Amino acid sequence: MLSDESINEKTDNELVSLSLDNQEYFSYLVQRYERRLISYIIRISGVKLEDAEDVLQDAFVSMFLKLNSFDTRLKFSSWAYRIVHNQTISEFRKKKVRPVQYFEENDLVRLVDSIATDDSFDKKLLKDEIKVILSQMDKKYREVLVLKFLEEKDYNEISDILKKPVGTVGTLVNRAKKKFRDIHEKIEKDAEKKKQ
Amino acid sequence: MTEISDKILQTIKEKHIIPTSRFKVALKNYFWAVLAFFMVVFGSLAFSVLIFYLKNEDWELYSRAGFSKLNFTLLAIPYFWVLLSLLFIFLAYYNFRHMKFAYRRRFSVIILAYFSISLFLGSAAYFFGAGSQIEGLFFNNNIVFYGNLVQKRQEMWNRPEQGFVAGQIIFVDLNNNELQLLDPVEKVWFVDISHTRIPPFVNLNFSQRIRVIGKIISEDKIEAEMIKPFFAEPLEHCDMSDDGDDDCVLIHRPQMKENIPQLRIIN
Repeated sequence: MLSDESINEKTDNELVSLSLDNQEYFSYLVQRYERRLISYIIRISGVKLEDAEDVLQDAFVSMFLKLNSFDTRLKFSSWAYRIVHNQTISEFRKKKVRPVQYFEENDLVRLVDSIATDDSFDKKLLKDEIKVILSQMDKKYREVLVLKFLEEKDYNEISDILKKPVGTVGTLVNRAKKKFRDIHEKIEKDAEKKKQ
Repeated sequence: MTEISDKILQTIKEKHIIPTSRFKVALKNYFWAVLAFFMVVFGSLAFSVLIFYLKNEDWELYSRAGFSKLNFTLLAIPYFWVLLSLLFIFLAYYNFRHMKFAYRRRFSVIILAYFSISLFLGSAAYFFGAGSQIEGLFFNNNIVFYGNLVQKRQEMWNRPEQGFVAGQIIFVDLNNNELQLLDPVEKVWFVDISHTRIPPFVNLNFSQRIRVIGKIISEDKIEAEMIKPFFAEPLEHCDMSDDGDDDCVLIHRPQMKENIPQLRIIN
């Protein structure tokens, strides 16, 4: 086995190659991504930490099984996100329940800051308001918002994760932002009507 | 090592999980690629028959047969082949979608590309005679549903009130210049061919499908002005003035469809 220092210098693709020869190296790939992927699972499903860890474990085992099908033209992180995404969705399908998004307060602030690029939008939305808006959005829009603004993935990476053309991803992000604003406006108007 | 990575490694070891072999992965990728390729080939062949139908339609005679241009166009479209072509394009798309990085291409781009490839290869296949060969193959083998398509076309050109009769030859009497035709509704027509020249590309043989254009002289008799093959040939490169030109030989359908009575040919 290589020393921890030299492992840190290895790229993801090199670690994949090493893992194919010696499974011990796979644990270094797990360590590199486990924190990011756990928070991603929680963001798209709203499960507790322990459940997210179970999903992650299954996803990494599945990743190891498919290691030979990993194409080096793809970023390993995109491939890992894709498998985790699919594993999470499949877990919910098995349980026949709808995933619920869970966002920490910090996440919500970041999300609104990213979406509200113009001054007309009230950036000081309450946490509960943002949650209501997100709950009223389609799953496809929430997915791209999470990947773009919270996971900070670019369009090409989102395309590889969700297996959608880059152009479609761009359209989805723009529509998601518009939906977010539209729903917010509608909620505001409804609130004003109630006051009157 | 973190707790999670430790657990994952333990699971891999305990369950003796090993990555799927490179060979299996490659086989799976090639499988979809090969299927996609074949779907394109089949789609192109279906396109060649579609072109064959449209190109060999008798567009000059539609008004004489009493059709409006739109009505005739709608009737002339060989829906069976259109659907088959579209089905193969869809299957090619489905197979392509399973290939690596196929998701990076938009649905419309893939479909347009497949459509263009099928049109190009289909035109080439038509040029080399695949369209007529495949049409004959389907007709002679009574492929399911195909009879309906052919029957529709026969009905289209079987309009006695306008002087059009279409059907299969069941009797040839060249001494008396007479043919007998069985039309789509199984009515036997006596065709007087004494006032018409038989084009070299029309075979007056048993089971040939032909169209007769002329004048109805009694309930079951027509005086032919023109004898045309079922499909509006002459074929490309055919020199009509040369009776021996091989290019004028019509696509022959030597087998009889079922339930047509046996015939005699009197020379």
